[in-house]
Amino acid sequence: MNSEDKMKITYSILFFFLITNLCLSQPDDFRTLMDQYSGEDGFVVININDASTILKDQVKSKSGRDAIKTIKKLMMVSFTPETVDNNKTAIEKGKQFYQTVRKYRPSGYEELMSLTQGKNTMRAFFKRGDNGNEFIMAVTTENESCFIIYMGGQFTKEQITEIAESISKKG
Amino acid sequence: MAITMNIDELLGKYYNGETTPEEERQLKEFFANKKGHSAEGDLFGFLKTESEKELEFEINENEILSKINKKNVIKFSTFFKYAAVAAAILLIFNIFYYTVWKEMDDQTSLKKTGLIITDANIDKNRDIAINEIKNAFAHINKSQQITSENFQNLRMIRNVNNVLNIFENEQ
Repeated sequence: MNSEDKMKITYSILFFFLITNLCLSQPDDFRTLMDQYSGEDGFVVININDASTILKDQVKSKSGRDAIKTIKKLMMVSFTPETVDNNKTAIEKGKQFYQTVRKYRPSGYEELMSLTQGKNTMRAFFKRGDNGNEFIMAVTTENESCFIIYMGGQFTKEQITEIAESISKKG
Repeated sequence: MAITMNIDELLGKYYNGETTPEEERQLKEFFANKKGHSAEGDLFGFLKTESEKELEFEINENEILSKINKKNVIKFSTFFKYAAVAAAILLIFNIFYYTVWKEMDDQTSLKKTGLIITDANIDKNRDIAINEIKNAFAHINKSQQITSENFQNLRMIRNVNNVLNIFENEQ
């Protein structure tokens, strides 16, 4: 086997890994994720059609309240490992979800930001639509808790920032 | 004769109201032991009997009172001891409940697992939902802060590079 053949084999292996990784990193549909983890130990799934009704009391500023009114659909899947004691199945499902969240990249969305620091990852995505805009955020933390949140409504990117600031201020 | 004289003297003093309790006791003893009937004998015999009764009554009364007091003292002290212990336990329990336990309980209730929150049960699970969403917004806010910090750093680097370019061009 000459050096050219070795190079071909090396590139073939690299190409195979690249394709495999790309396939694995394909985003799961949000609703599929919700169905997959609904009712599972350690998971909390939220699916509400008018989030502004429960969030409006969480901000003091008028601009924050106005921004919150723009959020309609809110879906969220979160996993907290502390809530799972020794349930091996739940721990495994948590790890599986953690990996999914870590690699989550929905197609058709603009990636607003991506931060990775050790086990901490944060990714935010935005999509403009005729019937409203969509915002998705996937977060994993050091203690292996993770969540994905989806919001749909007539909000802008700036209003998402406004809401986040207002809610964090009150909290 | 000396005793009789003495008795006569004592009687005189008695009728004048000048006798001491000891002298009265002597008179009572004398007439109690004296044989025969006399007005003084009847009087002092009666007084002696009464005083004995009184003494007996006094003793009994004292005994009873001492018993009552003793019982009361024991009762009250025991009651207060138990009340103080109960109050202390209650106080510790309240402090523990309102500081540690309640907080733990709240946290536990906010970390219910396997929960699916929808429009149908949002009122019942409002606190859990708000907690989860607020947590998500806190991450969004944090990501915004990190992003803006990075932009500031980039701006600073760009400004430094501009200054360096100016220096290089001048040289």
